[in-house]
Amino acid sequence: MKVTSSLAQIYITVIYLVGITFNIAMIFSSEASGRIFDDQVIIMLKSVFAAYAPPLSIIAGGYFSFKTMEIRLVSKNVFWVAVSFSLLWNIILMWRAFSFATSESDHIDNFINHFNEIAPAGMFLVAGVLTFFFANKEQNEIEQ
Amino acid sequence: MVNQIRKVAFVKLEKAVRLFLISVFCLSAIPAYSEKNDFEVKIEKNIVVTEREGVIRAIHFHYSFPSKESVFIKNVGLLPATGQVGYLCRCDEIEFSENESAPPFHTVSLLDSIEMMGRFNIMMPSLQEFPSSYREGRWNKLSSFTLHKLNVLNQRFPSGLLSLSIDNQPSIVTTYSSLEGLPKRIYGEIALLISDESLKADKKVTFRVKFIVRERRSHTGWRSEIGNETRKVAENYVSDIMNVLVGRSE
Repeated sequence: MKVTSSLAQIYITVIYLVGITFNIAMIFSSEASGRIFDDQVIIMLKSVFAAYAPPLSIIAGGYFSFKTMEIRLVSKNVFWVAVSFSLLWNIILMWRAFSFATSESDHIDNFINHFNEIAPAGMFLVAGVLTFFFANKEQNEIEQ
Repeated sequence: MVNQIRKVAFVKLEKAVRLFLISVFCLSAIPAYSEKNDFEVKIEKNIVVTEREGVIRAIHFHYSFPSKESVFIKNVGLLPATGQVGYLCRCDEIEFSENESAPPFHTVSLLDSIEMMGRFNIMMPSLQEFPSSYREGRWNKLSSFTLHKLNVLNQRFPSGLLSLSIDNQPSIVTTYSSLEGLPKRIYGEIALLISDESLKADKKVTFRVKFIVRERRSHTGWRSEIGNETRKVAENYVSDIMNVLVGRSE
């Protein structure tokens, strides 16, 4: 069974958008529940944006650099591996944000360190996937 | 001949001076005894701890001077002639005198102390952190205000009190103590600076209370900018402790 490259792109894009939205929501939830001071929201948002900047810029670049969207077929295995790696990277960040927003004792420095250090360190999981689907037009064509 | 006599006399004089100086040096090197005459000072705790502005001693001792009516302990204040006190100080000795202006009649060295290994943190607020504004109270009772003040503050600030002298007046800087009654996930701590001023005429004591407050949320560090809730609770706390210090309430 084959999956089209555009469908894979949409899946991956949705995973990242849900991830960043969830993390932002957790920050606002932490602020609303009095876990952090109001002015610290900005510091936390900056670390989330910094973590998501590389993957989202590759994704956005992929959409805007192609003049015409060509529908290609990719194998199902490649598709699921790509989705799994993207999910894993996002879950590592989302779990930290969820834990921060729901626990009774934590520290903002731990949250910021997690996003500043774990997100780039884990980029090996998604760098290849994103390059394959969004940065290299030719490789999206799979041998039948 | 005369020269020889002079020489011998000079050598003997030199020897005598040397002996005198050596004996003076030896006498001064003898540590102050904690027991002398009918005095008794029993040091029960003398621990050196490191703090951000240097070294602090945590001391606790019993003292008894039966022949005196009261004793003035440097940096602490006027106390009954017999009792026990515990406080933190940046000092190497305890000086007992008749009053704040009299020379000490008894001194106890604290140099033979236990030095804590590892980290034993005492978070003392810096004197510069306290504002210039203060609240003033007056102790009108005949009993010792210092003793009353130490009892009240030791109960409320279990991490300790630093006794020191500010403008030659005994003063106390407390460690931080938690503020109760704040909304969920807001934590506040308060520290006080209390300086005494004795009025010579009627022996009554006026004292000034300055306070600093810090606040944190459940997931943040401490900061000195505080919210309205914390300010209100802190002001109530100070009003309450003022009432206790002047003896209006327990």
